[in-house]
Amino acid sequence: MPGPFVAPLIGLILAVTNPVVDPLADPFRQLDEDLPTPTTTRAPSGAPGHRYWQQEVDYRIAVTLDDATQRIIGSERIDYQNNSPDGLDYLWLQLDANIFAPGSAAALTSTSYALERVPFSGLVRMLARQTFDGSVTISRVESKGKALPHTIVGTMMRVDLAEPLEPGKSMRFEVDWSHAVNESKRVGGRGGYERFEDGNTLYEIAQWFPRLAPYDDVNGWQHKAYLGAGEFALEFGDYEVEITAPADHIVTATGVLQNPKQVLSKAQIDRLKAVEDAGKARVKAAKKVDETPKKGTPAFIVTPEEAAQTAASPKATDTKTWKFKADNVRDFAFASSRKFIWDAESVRVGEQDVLAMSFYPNEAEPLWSRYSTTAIAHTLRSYSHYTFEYPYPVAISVNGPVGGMEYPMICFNGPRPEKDGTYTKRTKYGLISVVIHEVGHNFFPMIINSDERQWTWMDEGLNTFLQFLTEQAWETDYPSRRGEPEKIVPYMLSDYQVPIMTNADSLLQKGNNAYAKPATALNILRETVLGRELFDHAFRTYARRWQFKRPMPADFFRTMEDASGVDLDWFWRGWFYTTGHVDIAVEGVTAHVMEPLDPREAKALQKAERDAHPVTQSQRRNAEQPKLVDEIEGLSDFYNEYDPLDVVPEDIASYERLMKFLSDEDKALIQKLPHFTAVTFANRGGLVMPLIVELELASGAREEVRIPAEIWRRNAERVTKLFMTAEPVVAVHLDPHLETADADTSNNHYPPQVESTRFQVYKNPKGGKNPMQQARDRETKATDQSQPEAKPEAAK
Amino acid sequence: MSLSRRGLGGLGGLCVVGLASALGLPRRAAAHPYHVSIAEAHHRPEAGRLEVSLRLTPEDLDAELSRRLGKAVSVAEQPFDARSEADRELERMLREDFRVIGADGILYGVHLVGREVGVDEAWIYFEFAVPPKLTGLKLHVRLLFELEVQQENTVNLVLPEGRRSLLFRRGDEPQAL
Repeated sequence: MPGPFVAPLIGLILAVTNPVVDPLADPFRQLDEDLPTPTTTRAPSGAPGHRYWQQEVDYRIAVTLDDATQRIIGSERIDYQNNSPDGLDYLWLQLDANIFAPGSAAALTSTSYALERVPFSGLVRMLARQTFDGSVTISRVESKGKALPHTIVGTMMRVDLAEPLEPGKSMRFEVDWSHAVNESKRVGGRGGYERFEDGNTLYEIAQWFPRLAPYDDVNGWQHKAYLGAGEFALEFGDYEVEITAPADHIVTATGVLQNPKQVLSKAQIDRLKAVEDAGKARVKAAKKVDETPKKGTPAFIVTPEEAAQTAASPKATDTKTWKFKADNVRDFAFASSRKFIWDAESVRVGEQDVLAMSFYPNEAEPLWSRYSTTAIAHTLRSYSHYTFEYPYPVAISVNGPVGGMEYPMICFNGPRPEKDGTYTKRTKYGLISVVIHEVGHNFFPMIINSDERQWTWMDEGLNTFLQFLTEQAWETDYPSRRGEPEKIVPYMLSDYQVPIMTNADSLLQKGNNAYAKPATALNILRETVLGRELFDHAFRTYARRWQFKRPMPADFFRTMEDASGVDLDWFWRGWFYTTGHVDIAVEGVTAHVMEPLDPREAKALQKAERDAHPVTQSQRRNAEQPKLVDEIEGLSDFYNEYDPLDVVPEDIASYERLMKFLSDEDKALIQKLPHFTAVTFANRGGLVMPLIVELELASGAREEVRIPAEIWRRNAERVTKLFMTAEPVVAVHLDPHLETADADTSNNHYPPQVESTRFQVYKNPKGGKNPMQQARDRETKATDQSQPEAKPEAAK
Repeated sequence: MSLSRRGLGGLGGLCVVGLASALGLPRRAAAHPYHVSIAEAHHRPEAGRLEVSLRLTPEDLDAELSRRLGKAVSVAEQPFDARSEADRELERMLREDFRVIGADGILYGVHLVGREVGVDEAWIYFEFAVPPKLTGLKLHVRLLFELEVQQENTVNLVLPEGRRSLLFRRGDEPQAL
């Protein structure tokens, strides 16, 4: 291992910098020029402004689910409160089901794929789109008994008002509609129905009623067409919904059931009460000893046996009407099936008992009864810790055809075990993760009501970040897919990216762009840039400021800076506005020693250094040649004998004079003689990041130095940092804990280390065998040992 | 250096595949699927190799092998065994869908080195014997196109002259290495 080059200390320079070549490339340029100017509705701190407003829309809906024809037939009464300072001549409603019209914009603008190796599922979907029409039929739009003119524009409907709706005023109108429900397997979609082999059907109904588009202080009407990728933006309001379904169905929905005696059996009502009582008892017991309530376990409201019995019996010909009420929600979804098992657990969140519930068919067992409701409860506790206390009375997870989709208080999750009831490790963690993710969406964006149609990352990215924290609190080394910095590196290295700050429908690689990268960025911000305490305070401040309000990206960026007290413009610019990656290299290391003040020591060191200088070839050969000064007497004088590195009396006198002026503390400091190591770092990836530097000392001890990203503020390409240590530095390691998503860690070391690629590590593992081969060897060995040993025959 | 090659015949034209995926094989139930694969391909001229580490979602790998074999397969439950049915199919998949094409249109042979399949990600390792200069060679990655219409496959190339990326979507032509 070569040692660092030793040179005399010239000056104590903490950071050597060169001028910035391109001032426009300054990564520390403030973000104000890119962010919207603060207003009275959105403050410069990132908080809602003193004149913040948002509309309110209350719904009273009666809907019939026709199981025979798989249709929704609905009627709604809408109360629209105009809290804006503007008069409105018309209202815009969203008709999301029109995405299933054969000629919808989503269908027409989907780019075709080559007629080479068409996926069967794609072919089925193409054919289904030709034959299935799930578009909305609007049969009535009225206010006070008078028809309102309305115009359907793709997935939007404009309702023209007889007279402008003035600021502060409200209006009531009614809409009747119907549409076919999509079969999820054939047509896709965020909701739909699933047909089982036993002839039964399971419905997950979402985005199913005409909903008001938002009218806000930034966009006015947010009526961008629903093309499929951008989810939705909505207004808060109160809902009363009556769902009429076959009498043998169990129905679950956003909100609280209002008429349990009319739709549930006495046994089901008693079991629900027992769950709630058990929760109250845990809280009471905990209060006595001033502790957090113990965690409960789910109990069946409808058992697997009861669900199987219902599913096998003749279908009901009559109906029941389930009444639900939900306050201050931005949407309403429901699920219905006669196959549902139902379990529940009471979860204490703050001062409120929340009912966590799961609904699933027997095909989901035994996986779901073991994990779904427990995952809901864990999510509520974890997310509440990082944001605010979950404010709704219920949280529901439903198993059906949809892989994972979220709505207020209710979400749809897909994982199921094999038909024989076994399941893989991946299915188990897939279920836990998807429940955490979708229940987590209650916080982002169901309560922190960001505009999903415009900014996917504001809900998916923030939610995936908290999902990572919540997963890691489930068990040690939980196999999280997103969050750890090194996992995002391959994506950040690729050329085909768009910035996170890109419209939802224009994203490339949505999963990496809007989920993984922002989640990773926030994890880095928490662990490496701000630290957990500062970050958690700032993140919680954002969540609480914008609870039940509609934040925009600038509100998040500004709040995080406002509450942390740290200028993060460089971080937002690098991670959210560009597609650069992190690759910082240790480019050079020089060691410096302070010369001893005592001339006897100092000159001895200098002599040693001079003597160590190599003899050149000419000097070596000339050494044997006769010299003139040796032949002619008198040519040699004082300077032929003089050595400037000899210690002379004046040197000693000067040293002694100096020592008289030094205090005892100064003398002690000089005795320690610190070592200086200058390390040059090169920014090869483009993104500036903090420098996490581990210094390996001669004794084997290690020191870690964490340098803020601002070290790059004058030169974003190359900086030199001087470290002072008590011992010589023998090695330097950058980012030793893999916390900055550094794309090339092979250049993170001095002396350089040869780092194998992932391929090479797999192909040439230490010890000659990869972990799987080693495991296989262990299995073989165990099998051999379990074989009965040959016993000597008994003596005859 | 010896190259294993075979012709390109019979790969064009409309070919509807994937019937198995609609017949009750494993559900891919990720919350919001990525529909992407990402590979890092290192060219080592001194060794005459193009070494590839390919990352997929484990569900996609199982679903694709299940589709190809017409029955449910989960390789995460099985150690790598080049002689097993699943891993032989995996090598066939790479031969067909991760293709290094010579200037004369001939395919370079792929050697499956192994795989690591966890809960969170699947890694497949394979290599090609290639000449010291890649001039004239093309890459065509069609992984999982039968599984997902929106599939995107990114290849980060690490070459002696530097890094660059290739992106393959359905219908894309082979691209120069």
